Amino acid sequence: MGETDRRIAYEDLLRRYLPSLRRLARSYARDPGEQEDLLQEIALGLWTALPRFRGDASERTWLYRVAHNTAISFVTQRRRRAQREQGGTSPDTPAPEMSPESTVIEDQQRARLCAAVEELPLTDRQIVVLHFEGLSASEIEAVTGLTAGNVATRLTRARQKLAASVRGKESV
Amino acid sequence: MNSIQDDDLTLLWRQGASAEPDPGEIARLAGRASVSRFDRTVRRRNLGEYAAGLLLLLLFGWGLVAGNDPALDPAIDVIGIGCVAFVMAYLWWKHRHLTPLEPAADARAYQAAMLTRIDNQIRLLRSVRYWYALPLSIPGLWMVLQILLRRDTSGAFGNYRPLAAVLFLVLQTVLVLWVVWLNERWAVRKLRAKRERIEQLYEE
Repeated sequence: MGETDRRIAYEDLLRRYLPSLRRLARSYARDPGEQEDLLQEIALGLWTALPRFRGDASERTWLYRVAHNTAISFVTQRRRRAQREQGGTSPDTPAPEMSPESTVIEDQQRARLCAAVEELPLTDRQIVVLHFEGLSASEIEAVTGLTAGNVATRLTRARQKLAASVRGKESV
Repeated sequence: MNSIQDDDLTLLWRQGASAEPDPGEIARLAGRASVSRFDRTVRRRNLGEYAAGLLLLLLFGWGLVAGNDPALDPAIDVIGIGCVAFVMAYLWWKHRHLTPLEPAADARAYQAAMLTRIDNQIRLLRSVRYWYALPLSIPGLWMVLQILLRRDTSGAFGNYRPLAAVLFLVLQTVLVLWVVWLNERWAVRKLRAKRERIEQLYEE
């Protein structure tokens, strides 16, 4: 793959997947600054991995593998620093992303959902995020390296947790 | 939303950041992820590892060519070059298959690769006393022996040569012990903590 082809393919990937990658970053980092840093790390990871993409897996599977693995490395590096800076306290609920067309209730629900997703165990979080991003069960298996049964069980359990979390907080 | 369905959650999730990326943002990300930046980082890291060794090689080489204290055996420089070359070669040998982690591996394989990498590094650091501290101590010990066994008082330090040799020996011993502690204890402890963090990440 030549340099020009690589750049074209890379920009095309970003054009199609950037919103999804941004949401993925949100599931790993709560602070907006950290989300931005992670997004850049993922972008760099995709750039370096791109020449080795042979099409053995689907483009989506490959992309999410790179993104999740990069995010895990990022989290591993940052967690210690965050614990040092915050003294190991749990982070606050994120501020809802206000947009003109969304209602306050939706924003609150989304913030609850994001917080609940981030509180899931890593593997469950990966599965849920991939599911929300529209990957099929077989694609999720390929990204996580888990069996179909394991993915299904974890997904069901995680969805119940998330629904309960969003629903439970509504009545407060 | 009394009964939250899967579709509701998916919709809620996607609404958060679904805006189309603007070309400026794509250009910015593309610009930052240039291959030259990545290559530079790797090159710099590798160069840093060997720079210190090269400096020592130059020092010993200079000693061999220009000549040190005439009272000292020139074999010290030859031994020094041999020892430093051994350490550099050993490091290269241990890292010769080290490539960046494959980011396109599945999550389980990636975790296993991360843990293996850390385990290998821990093994390497725990044996620092044998492949790093010991070889690099040999030229110094050789020099100390030479000084102590000499009878005449010509050359540097004159009558104080035995005292200088003992001081040098103490200094070298402290330095070696510090290097060993730094690698075998401090760095290994940090790596173990990192390993634990990676394991915990995947635990339920």
